[in-house]
Amino acid sequence: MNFARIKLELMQTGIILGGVVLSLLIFSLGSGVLLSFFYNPNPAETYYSMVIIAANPIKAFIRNFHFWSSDLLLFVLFLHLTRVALTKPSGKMRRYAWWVGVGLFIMIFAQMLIGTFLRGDQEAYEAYSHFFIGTTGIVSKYIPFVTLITDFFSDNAAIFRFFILHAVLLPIGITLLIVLHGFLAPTFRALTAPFKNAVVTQTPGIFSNHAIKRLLRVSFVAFFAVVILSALLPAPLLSRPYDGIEVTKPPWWLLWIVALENTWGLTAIVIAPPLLFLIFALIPFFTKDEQGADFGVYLYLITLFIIIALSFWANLAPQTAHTEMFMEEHGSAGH
Amino acid sequence: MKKLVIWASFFAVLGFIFINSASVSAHGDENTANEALHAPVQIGLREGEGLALTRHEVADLVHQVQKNEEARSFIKFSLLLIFVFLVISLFWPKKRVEINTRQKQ
Repeated sequence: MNFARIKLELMQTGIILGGVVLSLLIFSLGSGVLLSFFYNPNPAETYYSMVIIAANPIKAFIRNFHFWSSDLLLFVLFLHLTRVALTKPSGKMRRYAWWVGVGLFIMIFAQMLIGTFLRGDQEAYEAYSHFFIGTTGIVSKYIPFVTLITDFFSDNAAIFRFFILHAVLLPIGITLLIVLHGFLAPTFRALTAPFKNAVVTQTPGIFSNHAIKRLLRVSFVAFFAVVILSALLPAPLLSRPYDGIEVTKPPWWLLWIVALENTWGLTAIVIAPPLLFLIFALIPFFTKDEQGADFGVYLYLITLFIIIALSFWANLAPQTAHTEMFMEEHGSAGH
Repeated sequence: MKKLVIWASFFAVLGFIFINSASVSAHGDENTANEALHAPVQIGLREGEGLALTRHEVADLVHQVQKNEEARSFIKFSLLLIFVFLVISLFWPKKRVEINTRQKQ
């Protein structure tokens, strides 16, 4: 096998990364359904149900599988976004596909954040405190009705309501957006062509399509990788939570926000994610249907590299108590 | 080379700004002092079960898992960086002139 052949194989794999994201989403949803049989959203029992899950080898494996499949999903999603940004979301349909894709990115981000809350451990409580204090202490100054949302996700029903969002509403929303994304994205539409052929011409069906075969092969490799990771590396579960204290760093995909919080305090948490989504949403406006790299490509890559650089920096930097610093400066208004 | 210098300068300036403006201090008042006790709690509930602990005691409880997670995060971002460069090398949008030049070579 020569270099040109390897490059062609890799490029063809790069084209179907969106399908791999879909496969990983299915793995994540499947393991999530199994996990929900053992999870208890009653706040007094949540952490203990997590301890019981982590203590049983089979339940722990399901939980690890859920963790690693969603981690790999986000990893492949970034690669898919990069590939699409480089092949340019220009033209009407591709632009709409990009915007729906940004919507999917936001929903997956929210899904993973809420999944972090549901663990009910120290890190979960700190993530929830960031959400709660950021919303009530900062956002509500400018958008007062946002406290309706924080009130809804407070008190005894908080975990149960987050659980409904995580297990029912967001998966439905993600599925609907994937269908819409599929109607618009050219690669996805090309993948559905064999379905149409199978009906019209009675050809052997979808498995004769090279792209589908490749997607199944790569999905199998991804499944195998998740199984290996789940067997060897357990998903983190920290101690039970303690009030008014911040001693942890968040998961890897939130570290870039931590770097900004280290510099500008808790305010960064309410500005940085919307800013990132806005930049991603603007990219099609700077992308031209011409050969060569344009400003849209550079904007995407600069944004991505800044996120990665910030994440490395936050990972190496000492842990900082952003919520405590905010409470010291603003009294107990946030709680 | 010119592009490389521009990119390197950009990241150097960015790094300089962040390293210089990073502030890592809290724990000043009576609620956040290191000796203050923190009650166990659950999301949505004010009270959990068990004894109240100090900051250092809670930090000790999470230390090992956090250390592992930091190592994992480093590996994940390193792999992401490598794969992003791979995707860039495969799908970088070339101009027709560049493609023709390469074909001739």
